[in-house]
Amino acid sequence: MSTSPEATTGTIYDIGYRHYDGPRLGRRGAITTVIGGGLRAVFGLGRSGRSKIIPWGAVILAALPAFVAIAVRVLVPGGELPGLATYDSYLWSVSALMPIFVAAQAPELVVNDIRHRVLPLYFSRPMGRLDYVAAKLAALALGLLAITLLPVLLLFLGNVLAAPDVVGAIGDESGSLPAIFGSGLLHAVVLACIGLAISSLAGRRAYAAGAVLALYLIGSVMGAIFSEIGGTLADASPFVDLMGILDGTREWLFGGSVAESPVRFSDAPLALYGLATGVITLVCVAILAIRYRRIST
Amino acid sequence: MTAALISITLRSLLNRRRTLFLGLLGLLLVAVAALYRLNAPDATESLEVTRGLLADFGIGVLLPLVAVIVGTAALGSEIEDGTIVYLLARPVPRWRIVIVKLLISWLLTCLLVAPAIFVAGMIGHGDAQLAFGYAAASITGALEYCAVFVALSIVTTRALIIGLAYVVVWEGFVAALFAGTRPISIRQHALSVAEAFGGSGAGVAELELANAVVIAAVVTVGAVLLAVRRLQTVELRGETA
Amino acid sequence: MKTLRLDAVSRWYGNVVAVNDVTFEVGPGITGLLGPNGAGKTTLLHMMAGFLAPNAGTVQLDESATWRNPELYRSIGFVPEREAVYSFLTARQFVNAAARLHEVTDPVAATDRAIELVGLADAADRAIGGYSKGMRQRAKVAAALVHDPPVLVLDEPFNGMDPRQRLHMMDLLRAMAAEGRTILFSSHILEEVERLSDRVLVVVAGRLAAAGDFRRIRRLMTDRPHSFTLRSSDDRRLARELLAAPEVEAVEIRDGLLTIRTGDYGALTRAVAPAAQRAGVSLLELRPADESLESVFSYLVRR
Repeated sequence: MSTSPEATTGTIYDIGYRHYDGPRLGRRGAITTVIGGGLRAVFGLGRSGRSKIIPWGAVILAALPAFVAIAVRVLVPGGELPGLATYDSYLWSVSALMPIFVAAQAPELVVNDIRHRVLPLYFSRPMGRLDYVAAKLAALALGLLAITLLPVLLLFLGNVLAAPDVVGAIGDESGSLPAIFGSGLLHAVVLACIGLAISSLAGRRAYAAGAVLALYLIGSVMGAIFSEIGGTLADASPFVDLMGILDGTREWLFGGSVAESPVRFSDAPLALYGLATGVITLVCVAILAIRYRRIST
Repeated sequence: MTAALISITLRSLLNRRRTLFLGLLGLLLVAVAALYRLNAPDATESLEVTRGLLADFGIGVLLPLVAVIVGTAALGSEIEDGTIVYLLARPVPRWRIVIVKLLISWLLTCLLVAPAIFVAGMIGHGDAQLAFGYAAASITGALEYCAVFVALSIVTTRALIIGLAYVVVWEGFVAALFAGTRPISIRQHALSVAEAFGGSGAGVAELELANAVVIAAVVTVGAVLLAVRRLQTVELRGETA
Repeated sequence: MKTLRLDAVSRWYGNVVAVNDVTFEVGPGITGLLGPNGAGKTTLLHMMAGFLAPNAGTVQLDESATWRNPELYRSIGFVPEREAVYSFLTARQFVNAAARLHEVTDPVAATDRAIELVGLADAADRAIGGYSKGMRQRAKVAAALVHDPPVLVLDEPFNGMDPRQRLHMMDLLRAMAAEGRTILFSSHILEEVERLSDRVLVVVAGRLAAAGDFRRIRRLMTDRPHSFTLRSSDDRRLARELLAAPEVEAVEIRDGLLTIRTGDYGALTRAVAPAAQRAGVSLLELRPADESLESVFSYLVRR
């Protein structure tokens, strides 16, 4: 209906859109950004308070015993907290928090991108599909380190600093450092793979979280029941329990047995745990690779 | 009218691979019992182990998992994807909707759980009364769980996660650590029923049957009333304001 | 006779006021609810369909409130905007279930009728999940009218329909309105509302900006000049003559078309013929240039 001049001739207006000719970050920059964004999602940064409760709650709960143990050691001569006597047993007592963390946060990283069909935005950039997967894995694993590595490191630091002879203590305790880092990394990486693999298959975040929790829950209950039954089933019992498998692998690689761990119920050779972990990790990575290769955008 | 309600609910609940997954869980329970039996254990040991299996896995994991998945989906899936509007835009009394959803999810949960528990009990220890006791417990527990989860699904959109958190955290950790909270644990109510009907040696419960039944009834009725009330005042905003 | 009445209705969500002191009545015939996205159309429709409570004011169908009133649905058929449907049901099953939930006396016959009316007869036995958007809309409409309601409320019913389906649906709605039903539909597409409705309700930012026949509304917009286009045997001579008249604010000749702008619609219509006579020019065509709903709408929105 307008009879203004523009309708009959045709003009393009300069509304400030500028073409960018400068340096671009490329593939590496894209991957780093996804990792960074993933870390923020894992810890609920940049989101409502509700999404921070579980990750930060888990981190604080995991680290708390370390502080308490140090306090006890400093204030009560000869005092020790049970379950924190060694770094390995501390890691084991924290292990209940790990599946909860994964169940809550792995879906945040992955499910919404699929559900809201946002993946084309990622894949039309310099990063490839597998780069995306690797970046998300890295983000979740790094986040998990806050529970699998950080608290134990805190305990280490506390032990060293609270000891009467600090320099000597460093020498003594630092022998445990490779094991601390190794176990922490092991748990973080494997759990990240499992969490992301399950989440990538789920339609909603709640289903993914439920599946991870169900897996953990069923496994640990089954493991407890098997161990009670005795016989060959007892030998198999740690292998159905997710955290049992991880603890067995840790023991195989770095030594140090934990009294409360289900590994104690079984006579299976430790190498089997390593094998199981390897198989699980490979399967999960394969699931992720196939899933993201196959997703149509 | 009720028939149409029933048919829609059945169709939507049975339609997913989750029913398959839940059925597999039940089969898992039976498989474990069978595996155990292959070892030809003696009677006292098999009683203890079977009891543990039925109580910890059957009532402790299988029942709540099935109930939370089925119960939150019965009404929750329609609320979440918005198709609830087609149900509410009809002159159907809201209490009827709640009751039908509850009964169907209860029925489905029982079908997925009670036979598995009964069979596992029979295989594990061969004592029909023990098996029956735990199966009965799963039926009563299913009603209470489903009522709570159906109500939860109307009250919040995150019913599945909250329900799972309740089962894992409250009934798993808290009730195990603090004896005082046991009266408010649905699992304990169910276990009391198991003890009462399972014959001698069935018991692992911490609550008296009478107390458990009363609390369970209060919880169930309360959940239904809450659900009806919330459904009457549910507001649907649509996608664009 | 079924009339929807809104009286000083407001609805807010926290700080955001979605509907702000709206009063109107919707009676038999087709009424279009027009407004930009976010104007509050869906909120209004949901309140009329009993799915939202007004925070202030009353929403009624005849004498009874729409909120918390399941019996209301015997008289109202509601077609929501949301796309979600029971994708595992076929259209026939879906409409049939609706019929049974409405306690219709012969659900099968009513279902067949409804499906015929919307033109889904060939596809009725396929699952809705496999339908195109337009077909899904039609299934929703069928379910809404299977119980023969006197009032139909439709939220963006033409969304996703191709032109042929849209024409078909418009014919259907016109037929139903002719039977005396009250039909209220919302849209942000001017052309649909212009073509279909007898009355228009324009909602902007939660307020009712105008109500009634859009041509009459246009005439009420006196602070904006009306424009007319004329064709005559000699445009220039006519233009010179018209420029002498005080009612004429502007005259423009462009591309062979003579356009006149005036602040006084009535006075101009009376002045044109005598002006043509004085100029000795034959008038061939006189057409209001901006009496479309679009111009009404853009005026109201910018206000």
